[in-house]
Amino acid sequence: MSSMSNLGKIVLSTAWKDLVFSYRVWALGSFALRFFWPITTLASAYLLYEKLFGGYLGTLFRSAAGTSDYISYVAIGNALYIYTFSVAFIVGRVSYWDMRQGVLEAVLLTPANRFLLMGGHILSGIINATIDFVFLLLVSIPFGLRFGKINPFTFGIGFALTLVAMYGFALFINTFTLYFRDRTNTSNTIVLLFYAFSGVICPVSLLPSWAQIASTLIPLTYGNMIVRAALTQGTEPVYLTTQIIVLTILAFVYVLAGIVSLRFTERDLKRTGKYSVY
Amino acid sequence: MLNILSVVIAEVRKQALQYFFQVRTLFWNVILPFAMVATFYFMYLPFIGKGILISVEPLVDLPIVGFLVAGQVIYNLYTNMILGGGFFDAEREQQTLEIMLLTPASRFAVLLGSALAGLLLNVWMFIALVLLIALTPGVGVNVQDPTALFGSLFLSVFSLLGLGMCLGCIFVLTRRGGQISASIQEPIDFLSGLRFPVRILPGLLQAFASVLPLTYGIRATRLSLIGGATLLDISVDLLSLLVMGLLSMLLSRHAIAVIERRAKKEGTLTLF
Repeated sequence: MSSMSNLGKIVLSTAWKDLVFSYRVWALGSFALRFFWPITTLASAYLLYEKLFGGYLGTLFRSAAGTSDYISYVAIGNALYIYTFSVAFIVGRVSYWDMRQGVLEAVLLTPANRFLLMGGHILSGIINATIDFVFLLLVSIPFGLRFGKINPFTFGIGFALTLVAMYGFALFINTFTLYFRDRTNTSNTIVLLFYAFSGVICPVSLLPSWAQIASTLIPLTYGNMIVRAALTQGTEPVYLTTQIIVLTILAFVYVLAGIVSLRFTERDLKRTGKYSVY
Repeated sequence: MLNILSVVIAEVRKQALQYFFQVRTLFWNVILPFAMVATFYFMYLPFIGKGILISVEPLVDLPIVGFLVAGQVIYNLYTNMILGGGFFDAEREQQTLEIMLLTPASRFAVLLGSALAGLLLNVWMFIALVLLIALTPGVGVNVQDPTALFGSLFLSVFSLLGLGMCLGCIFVLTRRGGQISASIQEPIDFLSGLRFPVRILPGLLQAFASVLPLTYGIRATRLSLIGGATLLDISVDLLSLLVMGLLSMLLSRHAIAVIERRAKKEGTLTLF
């Protein structure tokens, strides 16, 4: 029992440290990095729809998206995208920042379980991303976001699976970033490519075929489909079986890749002792 | 004059050696432009389906792909200028800013050199993007007046160099280089007409857009590169670029003097 409570303490204390670190100072730069891209994209979608094309949507959009509400389509995709950002930019670089602060080796010398440490970072990431998710949905309302019939069960499944897959991905990025001593390039690249190819702003079936192939590897693609269907049409999970199965497989693969890469990092660190070297 | 030129060349060489062969450069000059053009192009797909040749302007033939790629040419130059501003700030981070200010080198030449290095990083990307436009079926380069294209590019570079130099000074003076560059990037890309024509912005935002050199640079380059515009067609844009370039150069000269005065008087410039 006491060991269980110790495990909980590791997760909670790591998450608490991260949250204090995130909110002790309000920095315009980090606010801008989190929100300016999705907000300006939403505003762009609004202007294209209302001003440039005068409310006209191509006939293909309705059949591809299952809705003619373009603004809600983009708004929900945008809000879910914030999880990608949280993963790639915050959780995916925690070890790198530990290295920059000179505490990485000390952290890894503690007897705390590494996966619980990462679990703490992930918990704070979830809290931050959920705040951002709600904030972005609220910002989207003046632009015309409308919720249809909501299916909380489908939403929960889509949301949770996307979360697990993305945080498996985060573990992997964390190792990659640390191993190659990369500050922002990997995170920036992943955030941008995920945004472009996961169907945030356009149904995947309308993308060119090469882009559709890229989109099949991105968990957010399936997460978008499930969450949108849940929030706008109240779709039952049974009608989204394919997306749920693929997302589950991706979640499993990415979590496995993340665990393997984290173990590799630790072994390599012990062997070479070079991770704190720039 | 020869000394100033030597300082400029030395600074360009130093910055190029330091940054040209980095993953960072690959990101800013290949991945970012590619992902941005892809994202903005995909944003049009719900409206146009497969009709990539639809013009975004009623009176000029500006197919969507060409419109976005030509805009990206100048936007990329702008991002490199922001990075150029960061180069100067990097001197502070490396603790070499005060040493640099102790040398007899012209401060203006140093700043010009670091901004030109940003330009140098952009040249090969510019060539690649123009080739992309030229090879896109149904779009193609449509240059009716080469002097208009040259004027657009030259004055865009001139005004953005001035902007880069101003940003370089602001980054050092405020100690908030990273924060400022992260904060202005998206709003400026949104307002400048990179994603859509500026005319569809609400009035107040159009007013903001009208004070950005990027707005005029993007429009002039698009019109002269793929819209077949002549020098006369884009004369207002070119004049605006010239005036903004001159003003920002003057402003940066003044800002350099402030930096130097503060370094001598307070000695706090290198503190974080």
